[in-house]
Amino acid sequence: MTRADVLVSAVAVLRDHAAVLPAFVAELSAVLDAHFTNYEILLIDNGSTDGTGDVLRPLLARHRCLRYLRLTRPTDDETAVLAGFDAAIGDYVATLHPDHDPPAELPAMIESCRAGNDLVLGVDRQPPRPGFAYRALRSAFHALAGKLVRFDPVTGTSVFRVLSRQAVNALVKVRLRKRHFALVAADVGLTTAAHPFERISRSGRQSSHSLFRSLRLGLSVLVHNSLVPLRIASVLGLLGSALSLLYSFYVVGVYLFKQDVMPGWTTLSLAVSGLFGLAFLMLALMGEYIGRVLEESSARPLYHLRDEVSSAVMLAETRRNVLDRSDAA
Amino acid sequence: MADACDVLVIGGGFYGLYLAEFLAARFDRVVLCERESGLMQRASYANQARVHNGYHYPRSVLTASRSRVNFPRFVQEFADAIDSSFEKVYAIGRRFSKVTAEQFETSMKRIGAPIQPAPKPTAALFDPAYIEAAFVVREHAFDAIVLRDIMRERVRKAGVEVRLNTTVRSVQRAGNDGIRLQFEAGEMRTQHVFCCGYSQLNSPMAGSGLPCVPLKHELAEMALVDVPLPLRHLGITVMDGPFFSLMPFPARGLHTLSHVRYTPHTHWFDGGAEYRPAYEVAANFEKRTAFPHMVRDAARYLPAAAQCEYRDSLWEVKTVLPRSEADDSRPILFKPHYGLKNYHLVMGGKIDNVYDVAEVIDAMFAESIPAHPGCAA
Repeated sequence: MTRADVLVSAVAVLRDHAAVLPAFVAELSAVLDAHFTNYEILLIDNGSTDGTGDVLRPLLARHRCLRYLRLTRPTDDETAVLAGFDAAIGDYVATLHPDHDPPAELPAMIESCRAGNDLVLGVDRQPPRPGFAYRALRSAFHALAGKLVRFDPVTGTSVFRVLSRQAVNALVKVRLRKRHFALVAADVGLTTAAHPFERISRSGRQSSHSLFRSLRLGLSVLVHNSLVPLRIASVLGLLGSALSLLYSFYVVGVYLFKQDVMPGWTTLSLAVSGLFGLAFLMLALMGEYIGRVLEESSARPLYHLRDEVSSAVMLAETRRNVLDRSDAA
Repeated sequence: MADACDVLVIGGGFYGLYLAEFLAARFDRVVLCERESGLMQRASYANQARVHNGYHYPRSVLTASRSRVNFPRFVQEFADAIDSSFEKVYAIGRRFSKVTAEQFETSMKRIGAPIQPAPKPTAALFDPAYIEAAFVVREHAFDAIVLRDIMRERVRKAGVEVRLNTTVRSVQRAGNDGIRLQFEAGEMRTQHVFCCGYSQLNSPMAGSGLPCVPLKHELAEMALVDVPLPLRHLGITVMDGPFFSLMPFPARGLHTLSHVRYTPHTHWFDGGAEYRPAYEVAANFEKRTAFPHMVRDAARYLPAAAQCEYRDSLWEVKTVLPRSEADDSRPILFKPHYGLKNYHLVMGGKIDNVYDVAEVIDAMFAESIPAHPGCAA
């Protein structure tokens, strides 16, 4: 079998994966070496405390094209992957989980990427099945998120992905503090293909679903990527303001048509309702401005070019540069 | 009776030739021996051909300012070998760089090195997502073949006796101050030995069972490439970290592409009893070009680099002092009377910094040895 003449970068984020690292690197480099003329393996250490560096040193002597990048402080894995994208030089960039993703699938995924897809997603054939409450909340979130943000639930299920160089170049231009790959990918507008695979487990541990962590993630997705929650607050503010105004009319009505009004009640009530109305109105207005500021300050380019194709001919063959009149037409 | 001379210089690279000529003004009979069949065949030929003007060392004021002092002198002295026909650009990487564009500009201005923001058409060659800023500077390249011819002529005129295909096997003390050298065939007696062997610096010591100087050797690959038209009149260096240089290589009429991450293929250390013959290690190493890696990384910063056409690779052993690894300084190593009296070691990493060591050697002789009667100096 001939090896494809491309350079493949494989990126893995390490967080206390020292136990599985030698097996992972050996398997990954065997696969890459067999299928591609050039490759590199980027290991991004995201704050491991289990002696990953010591486990790695002999690997650096044994395997070629290994790069080990250590972040100074632990960050979320999405940002660690971004550091890998910044450093990767490949024509195709793959991301893998060191424990769960089988490198043997990479050649097929890269083939699919070479066929024209910007992003090939590994989709677990048998995803772990969480409990009932988790599933109910998850489908509710998907329904809500589908309306509020551009979001494809499949994109977020695993980190096993292959991206084209163009996709990586577009993704590294998006520099959000809270990154969610699925959202960024949807925002950039990558053509996506799914690649089913069987999840493995080198360590023997099964990945577990934490309801609390997922809730926090879901909230962060909505708050950081949609203005709808802020808009709801603005609308509530306007509503409060309108109610205060109505209440003012009621107070004036009572003053005019009722005989036994306590002295001072009218002015006090008018002051309270007027000020509340004003405060709610201002909050609503400010909400709108904060929304604009958020939109302008988010580090997203206005557009991404997929590519440019221009015509293959300069001029029609039949045209001649000869005129039959000398004055302006 | 063994053949005898006053000074023997080991190594016919640029440093050896320059010192031999310099010493010929002090001593009657100077012999230079070179293991290859020609002069300046190894690291003096296979290098970036850069005449440093300080820009390369923004984090070491001493190395940078010495380069600044030596630059005009070297350019004037070897004018025929200097290629100044191209524009030299230093670009600062946005991420992973050890200096920012502002720090780079400030430190260059501090040592008085000419520096200007690159003009629009040049700056537009770089991807702003990866490059913070680009500067046009004054830095030249040298033609290693012309330089060799100049030096060959100069040592001939100075009366240095050059022996090619001659390897020094071992050195030992002879008499009070004398040294006896053992060649593959024959031997020689001399007063002083200057070893300018670069990657072979330790070879005579190891052959004599004497302790080696700590050195770090790297097997370095530079790709010789034909650059696309927009880059033809440019020399480009991206600073200051795991980046690359695309420098004109006048001796071949091509550019060299070298990369901090991919140019070194393997490395090893000398020191004490630890010694591996560098050329043998290099010859036995599997040489698979890293050009695909270099060009892909270069194209991220400089998209036009993707059109570079690969021609050939220069493989050479690059030797550095282990202490230089952490910092930015590139001092010349000069060890007088190393192991034996009158056995001196000289090793420099940069061709254009030879003047510093010449001055130091001058000072050494001024202190200990009266000048040769025939010499005006």
